[in-house]
Amino acid sequence: MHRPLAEVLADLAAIALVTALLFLALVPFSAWWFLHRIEEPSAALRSAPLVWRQLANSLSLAFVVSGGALALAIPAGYAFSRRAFAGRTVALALATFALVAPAPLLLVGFVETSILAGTRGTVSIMTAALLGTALPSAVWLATLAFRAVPSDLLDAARLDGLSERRVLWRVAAPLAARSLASIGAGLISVTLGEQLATAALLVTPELQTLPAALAGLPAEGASAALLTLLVGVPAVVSGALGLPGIARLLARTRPA
Amino acid sequence: MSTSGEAAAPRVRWRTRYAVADWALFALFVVVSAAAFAALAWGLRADERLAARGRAEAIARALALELAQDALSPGTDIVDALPSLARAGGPLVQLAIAEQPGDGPFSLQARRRFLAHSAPARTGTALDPASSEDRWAQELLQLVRWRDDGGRVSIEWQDGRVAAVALAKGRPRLAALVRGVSPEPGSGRPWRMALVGWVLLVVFAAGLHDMLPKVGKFLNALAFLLAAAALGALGVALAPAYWRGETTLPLVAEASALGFAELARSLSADLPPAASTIPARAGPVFAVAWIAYALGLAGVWAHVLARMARERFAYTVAAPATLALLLLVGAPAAFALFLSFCRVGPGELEWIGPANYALILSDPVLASPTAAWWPLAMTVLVALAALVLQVVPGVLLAFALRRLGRAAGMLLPLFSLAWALPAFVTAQALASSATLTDPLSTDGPSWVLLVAAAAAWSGLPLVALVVHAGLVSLPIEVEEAARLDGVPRTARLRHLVYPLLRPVLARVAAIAVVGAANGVVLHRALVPRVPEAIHDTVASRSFSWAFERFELGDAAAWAFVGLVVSLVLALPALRRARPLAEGP
Repeated sequence: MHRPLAEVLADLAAIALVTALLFLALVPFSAWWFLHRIEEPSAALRSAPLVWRQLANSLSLAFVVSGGALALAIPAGYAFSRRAFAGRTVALALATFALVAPAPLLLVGFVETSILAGTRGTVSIMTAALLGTALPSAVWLATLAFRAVPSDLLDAARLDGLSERRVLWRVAAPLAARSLASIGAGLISVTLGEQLATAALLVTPELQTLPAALAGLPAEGASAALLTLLVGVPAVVSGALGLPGIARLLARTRPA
Repeated sequence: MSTSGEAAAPRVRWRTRYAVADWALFALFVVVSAAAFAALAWGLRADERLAARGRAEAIARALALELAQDALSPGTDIVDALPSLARAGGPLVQLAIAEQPGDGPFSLQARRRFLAHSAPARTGTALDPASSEDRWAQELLQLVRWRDDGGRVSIEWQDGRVAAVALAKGRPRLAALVRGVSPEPGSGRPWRMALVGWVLLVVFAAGLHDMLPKVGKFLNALAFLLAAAALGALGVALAPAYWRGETTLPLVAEASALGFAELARSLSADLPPAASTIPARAGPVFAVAWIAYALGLAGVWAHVLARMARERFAYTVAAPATLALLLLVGAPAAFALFLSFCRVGPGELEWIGPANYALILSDPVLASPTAAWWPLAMTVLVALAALVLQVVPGVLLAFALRRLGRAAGMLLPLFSLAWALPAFVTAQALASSATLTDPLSTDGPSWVLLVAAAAAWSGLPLVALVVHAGLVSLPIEVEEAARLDGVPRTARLRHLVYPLLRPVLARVAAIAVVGAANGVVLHRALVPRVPEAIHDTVASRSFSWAFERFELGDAAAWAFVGLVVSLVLALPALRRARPLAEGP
């Protein structure tokens, strides 16, 4: 059975397009670009003595902020998606506002507040600023995740006598677990790569994250390339794990 | 006939409506609102007292300055005249001379010499009744009595007689000042206003608790309208004073600070008195506005409380995230908005009105007036270029991935890599990659393409994956039926796939536009930092003014301009995207 020529050509065009864009997507990321600049990793590490501490700062901050944002967003996302109550639209509008606002807008408020309160350069103000950056996305996506849970299952659980709290934690959350895990992975990736807030708020090298430390290094140096790899790899891994799930959430425009 | 059933129904409704929890909430609300109105009345009363004290001090200083001028004949050395001045006015004369404006009768050098020698003279407050030159001064000072009690100056005066004496002595300015004094404070008006406001509030809240049906909504709207009108009128009336620099804080903040300061002083007498710059005539308008505003606000909260009783679970689980959003997003944004109307420096925070916005829209860094709009134009260009470069290839890629079927599933994580790469890594890679940046000169507008291409490179996977997920979720039977009916491929795309996919496309378009318009890291890494800053977008300029020039007020103003630009750019797409939550 022969396929029409048009179908074969369309398949070939699709393969060519995917291959070309895949090549474009991978080339700047490919390790050779970084590795050919890091001929002596030990020397590069010696020139950046705080690198391991800053990597630990980056990882711990990313996990704390992402975990905190997700812990707050899961119950809120369920309420926003499944319950009608006064103030829901305002809260979601606030989250949307944070997503549309330029980063310097919130940063200016945080920096001046931290100066007046004498908390600039502390981990607490940094955590708060990053939580303020991550929470709106988390709430937005968690709302979409719970909207994807079929209503019939939740209604059946209610008819079986489960309280609303049990419906959330025993039925809705497990059904949305995969999407919520994707959100968590995406949040970790984004928080690991955050540079503006960390550079503006954390002033001491011991507390800085790797992206903030990189802001002060020349882009052409071997140290910059090594540090970029160190923080880029976990960010890329977690982001690659999370993006397909996030994309499925963003593509869903109707409640299940 | 089921009369017993009909009689039972209202009782059940009554019990449901006026549940114990609802009554408890209402009672709590009544008590809390009473406390709030008492605090408001206290603050208004304190404001009256502070304003009266300020007027009294102004009169006393003017009187003392007149005395000092009278005691000093032209050519007299000010230090030599100290004993006479001390007799004439004592501490108030010293205060008047020390605080008089630079163009007053005494030179700066004379004032410095006076202050250097004035400490011993502070004890001399008695007048010499035998001195003929102090006679009229003595007459005046009998009308003005002051007491310096550990830093708290209390003054009593009889304004009518002072004005008459001042006029008789040929001091018209002083007479005019005295005549401008309002009647004695302590009329009890704030307490009456607060009581009326509280009663209205309770009635209003009762209406919202279904006790007075349908009245609450009308009062709510009325209160907000009244508050808006009153605050607007107040703003118009007082704006000139702010522009003249007579106040340093917004009126509401200053009045609130005064209220709290007086409350704190009532608890601890050691605290110093607060100074008020609020004009006396603002008091009644301010009070009406506050009460109306409190009514409206309390109405909203009463409504929320009533709803909370019914949706307790939803409020309980949504409250932590909502409070965190208010604290971590709402508060910094509100503070940034306030800063955009202030001059911000080390230890300096001064209200200057819309001057920052006037400054950034007539940027002195750029020579011609039209160039001031350059960052706005650049932001629009970058956003639109990124939109085209992301959405068009992204949609094509999504169709190609759908065509490949299951094989696409293996490729999806690979496409995620470019998106997951942090922006600064992308910037590092592109900025120092000669093969990518050389063909594009950053001297001209081609940097727009460079930045847009970088944004598109990292954003394209998200667009492609979202559109692909949207395509896969489309009902396949509908498209299949159209194909069997012989509908051409282009017609299927146009009339079937596109309408179903439009909300998804709108969503990714909004993400692409906002991401490119607000991007700072990519822009700053790829675009050379030239002094003219003609390469700036609004977001990058806001960042550089905040953290390179440390002009936080101007930076906040730029950030709000950027917010408006983002909203305008994303609004068409956001309107086409389906609402985030349509309700259960």
